[in-house]
Amino acid sequence: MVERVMDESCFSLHGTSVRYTTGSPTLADPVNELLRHFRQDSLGEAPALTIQFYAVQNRADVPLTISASACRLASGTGEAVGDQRATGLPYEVTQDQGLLIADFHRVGVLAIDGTQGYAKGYLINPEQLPATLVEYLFHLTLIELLRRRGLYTIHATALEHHGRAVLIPGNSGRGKTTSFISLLRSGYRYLSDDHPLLHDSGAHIEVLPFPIKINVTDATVQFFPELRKASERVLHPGVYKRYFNAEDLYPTAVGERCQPAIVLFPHVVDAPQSRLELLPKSRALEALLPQALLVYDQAVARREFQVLAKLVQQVDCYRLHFGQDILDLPKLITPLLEKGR
Amino acid sequence: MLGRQFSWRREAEVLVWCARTSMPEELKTCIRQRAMEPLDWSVLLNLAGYHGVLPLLYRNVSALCSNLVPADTLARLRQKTQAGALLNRSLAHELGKVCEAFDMQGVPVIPIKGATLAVSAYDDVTLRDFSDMDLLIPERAMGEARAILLAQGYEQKDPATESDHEEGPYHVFIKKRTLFRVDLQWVMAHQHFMFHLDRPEFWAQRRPVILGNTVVQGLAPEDLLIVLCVHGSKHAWEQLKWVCDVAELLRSHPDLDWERIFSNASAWGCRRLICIGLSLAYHVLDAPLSEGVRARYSGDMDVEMFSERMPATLLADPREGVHEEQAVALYFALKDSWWEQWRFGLVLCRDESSMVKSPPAWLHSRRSLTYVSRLIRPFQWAVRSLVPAPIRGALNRWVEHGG
Repeated sequence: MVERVMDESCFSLHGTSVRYTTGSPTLADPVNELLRHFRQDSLGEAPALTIQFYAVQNRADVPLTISASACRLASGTGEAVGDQRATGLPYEVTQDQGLLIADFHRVGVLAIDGTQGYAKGYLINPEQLPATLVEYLFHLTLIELLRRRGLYTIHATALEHHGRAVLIPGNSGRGKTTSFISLLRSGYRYLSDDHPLLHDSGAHIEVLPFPIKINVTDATVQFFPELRKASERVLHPGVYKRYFNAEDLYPTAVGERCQPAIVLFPHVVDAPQSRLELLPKSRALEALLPQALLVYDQAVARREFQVLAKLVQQVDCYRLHFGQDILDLPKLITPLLEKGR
Repeated sequence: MLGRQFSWRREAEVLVWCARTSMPEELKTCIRQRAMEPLDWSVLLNLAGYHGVLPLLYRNVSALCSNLVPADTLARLRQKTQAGALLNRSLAHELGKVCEAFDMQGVPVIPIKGATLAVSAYDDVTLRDFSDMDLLIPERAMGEARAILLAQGYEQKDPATESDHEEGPYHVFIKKRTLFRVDLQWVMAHQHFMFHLDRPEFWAQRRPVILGNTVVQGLAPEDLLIVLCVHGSKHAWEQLKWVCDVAELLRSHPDLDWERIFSNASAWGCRRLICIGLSLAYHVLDAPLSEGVRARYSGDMDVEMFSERMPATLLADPREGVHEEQAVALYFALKDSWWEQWRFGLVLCRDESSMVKSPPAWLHSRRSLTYVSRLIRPFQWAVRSLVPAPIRGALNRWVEHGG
């Protein structure tokens, strides 16, 4: 049985209004935490996007029937609609008339109507799910809706320095968050630890902040004295990783929306010093594409590809051979940003 | 921190101390000490939200005494401030786009308040609470302005659907399915209150204001000060943020042309509204004002008295305050001359204003006003009965517009 929708949260994501309703605190809290920077008291009239999440007890309680004409788009385990390998969820994605249905089997089902800006999620016994998984499923839904309104995301960290952005895409374990923190602590302003938003303003691509908590592994913590010394009030314990809010540790603020200037593709090397290798645009685009979330609508996919291609044309792209001089990374990156100003 | 006739309520005092971008060491010590004492933080947060000064409260509390604030209070304050900051930036970005569209079509526009005020007075778009874009346009350009906004995806709002719509022209546009709201203005109007914004002086003295990557044309600081003081008075300085605006503008512009300010204010009949704004900024928020400027209003007992009574909801005893619903009495009391005051008084008597029937206790002329009201009643009756409607209309216009 689907429980009654009660609580409502309102958000404004760079002008796009979002209404989220759920009857379950287990489904409300992670979303409110994820979008805390965007929360509003009210939205006035009809919001651009409406998302409802319901708690159900069994798979059979999900009130969705897939028609015979539905078309299965993908299935598998893991990288369903994104690259979060940690989730490792079996999934099946189906297009049924106007609805994109992402079925996560024993976890729940998402039904997304991108054209109408409407989505419903049915999560099975959400109180037994980790908050990060609820957050992940909501984010997935949100991104699918936002991309139809011209806001795209890639799996990257992003920072702003004097009105220019550095993007650091990459999967876990490549030094993405470590390089992010190294720049953050030197005074760069944070845009996002995981999913900055991209927008094509016509003349150029802009990076918009999507500030979220910063997840760190124990190995990353060891590189930074302030993280090593941080109490649990600042560096919170988590399931796979610990996390903190940038402003709790550094005198920083959320950065301005701005034009990206540099894209760094990090990988860790066993060398005393880090170095940069300029990448040809074609190779940079090749490296960037896997960091975009999967898209199932052809028109949207085309627009998203154009945005990424335009981004690569607009910036200098480097392979960052990330050595042991982690704290000195700003000395390598800042002159590149200053040079282009 | 000046001595006060009417004290602030306990939490309000902390709010007043924190509602500024710079403060002396002595005040920082006061805030820390007060934070160590029992304080109802939820009351303080609600007051800050109502008075539109959450960003300033968060900035100062987090810098001065974050370890003394209950964790959940600080988290709530931070969340609201951060969300407000991103919304402000979105609005500033949208404002840049809208102004650019006006510029492309050759339609003059001046953003007043909002993002340009935050940058001009606070030097930080995130420190001032705002939620819309107030655009001054020439009255004659309304049609073109409307077309520009419609082309930008805005829809005009029907005034009938707006419950708190004040008197005067209403040209509000909302961008579909966003929080972006534009209010086109050429006059500031309220019940029995009218101040023209479409003035040649404002257009001639425009100054560039940098909003991120965009430059828009804002009011000159002298004109902005006049607009802020008139606007605050229009609302009986109900919210602390309006006093902050004046105080921060004074802090950020130490070299204002005071001759120009007072000369224009006198010509436009709002000299004492400027004085009350300055006096409030000085008394409430210790705004920097030279003795020479203060001397311009120091003999005005009404100005001194009113600056003790607003913002009313911060007073320990709000009954002592001047509330927004009493604003008409404030306009009456703060007319620049005896003649203007009593001409306005006649309008209030003619309209049988509730302010005439039950004037607030702080209004010195309340007895005279009631007396005049009784005195003119037979004349009113006679005029209504004997004078034809067109002549009555002409008489009314004469009373309202000065003959």
